[in-house]
Amino acid sequence: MAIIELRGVDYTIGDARILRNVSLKVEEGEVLVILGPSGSGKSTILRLMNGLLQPTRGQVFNGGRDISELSDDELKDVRRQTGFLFQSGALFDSLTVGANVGFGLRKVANRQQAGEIVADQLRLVGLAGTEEMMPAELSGGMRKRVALARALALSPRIMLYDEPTTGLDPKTSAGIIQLILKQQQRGVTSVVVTHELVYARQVADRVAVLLDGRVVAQGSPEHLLASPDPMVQQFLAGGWG
Amino acid sequence: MALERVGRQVVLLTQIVGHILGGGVDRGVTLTQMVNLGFNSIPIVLIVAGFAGMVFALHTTREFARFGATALAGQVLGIAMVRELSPVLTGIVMAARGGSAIAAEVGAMQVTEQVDAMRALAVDPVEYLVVPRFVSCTLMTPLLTIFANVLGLLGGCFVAACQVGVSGRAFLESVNYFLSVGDLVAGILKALIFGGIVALIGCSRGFMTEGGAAGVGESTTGSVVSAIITIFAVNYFLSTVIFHDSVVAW
Repeated sequence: MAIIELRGVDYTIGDARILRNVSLKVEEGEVLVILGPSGSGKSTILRLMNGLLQPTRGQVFNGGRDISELSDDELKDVRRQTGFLFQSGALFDSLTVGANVGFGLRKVANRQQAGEIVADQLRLVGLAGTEEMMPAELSGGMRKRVALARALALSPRIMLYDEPTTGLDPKTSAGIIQLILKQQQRGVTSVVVTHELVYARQVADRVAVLLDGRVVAQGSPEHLLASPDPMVQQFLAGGWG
Repeated sequence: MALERVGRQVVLLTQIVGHILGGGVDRGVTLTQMVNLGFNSIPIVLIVAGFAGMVFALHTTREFARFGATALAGQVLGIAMVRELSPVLTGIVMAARGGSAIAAEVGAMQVTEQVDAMRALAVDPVEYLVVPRFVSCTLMTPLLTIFANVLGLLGGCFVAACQVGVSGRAFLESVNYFLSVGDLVAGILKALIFGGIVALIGCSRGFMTEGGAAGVGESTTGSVVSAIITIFAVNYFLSTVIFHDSVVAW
């Protein structure tokens, strides 16, 4: 059963068509990697999936519900079930690491519960004991791991990762990949947006290739490697395999 | 563009009112903002109001002295400070200090995806960011205005006594005799509205920020300019309505 589905989605900003008739399904428990060059509309797809953006045309379903028809409270429920790792981390720079990770728990857990969840999540990402640090004191990789801990604190059924390894050194990237795989083992459905072919191949159950706002191919990594489509081959020639 | 901004501000105000009526005010964040936006503005407000009262008294008391009407100096300064100068000057200080800080902070959060991150965590940015700042500004601006009244009148009294030779006691008695409770309430009401204007414009400009650091700078400048212009315009209409039948007893 598809836990997320995009049906004939267009997204435009002014005259610019960011997405053109995109249809995608994400099955429960799978890891879908959306591959594409910068500016192809990958991040826009993630934002549509949790209702941060509304499609210009078409429908987006999350958990079987059309996102555009949800009330504010229903949309909040969907978002609690859908973790989002931003490319920049997007940590709240005026709050401590602990407050960042516990931010989403403000209305769903008491202080003691939240403290325990925060400690658990920081331990999971290898940053135990950093609760009192400020984001400005962290390296890029640490910031991303804190952002991941924050996204996971609500125990989401779905995780959306926007360029999780971009700008990180190989060791930190490998650590992030391991965390994504750990979530996969726990049955969390994941959508990973990236342009880094090597890391995509390590986590993907299925891959969709996005070029100029269109999904030009989708299938298993092996299926894509064998694709005769010249556009796909041209893109994959950048380093796939 | 200007119409779009006004439209967004109306929508934002509706959301703010909805959250306040629904009890969605985060007390901790609100208290922090009351300190940041209000308490920390006290020295600036006192300095501005004190010197405004002094320079006002310098001119009026000398003129009144020429006609032997120094008893009126306190009355004129009192009415000017309480009805107009204190609320407007405090509003301007809040716009320059608080409104710019709000627009810069919210704008920086907007361009660094922190506002989106808040939404993604099922937290309403209006509830968390805007309502506490709105409540803080609307509560603290009247309080600061009261301080401004006191310092403005004391500054005026000091100048009248030291530079023009008017008895300080007579000056303050003149203020007390002619100033009504209605004048004080009207000034505080104005300040309350000005505080709301500053927060509303600062937050809406912050949310509309685009384009990185340059965009944050534009939003900050824009919020201060818009808030000051709006305060002056709204002040005129408020004065027209509130004081339309008031008679100054000469």
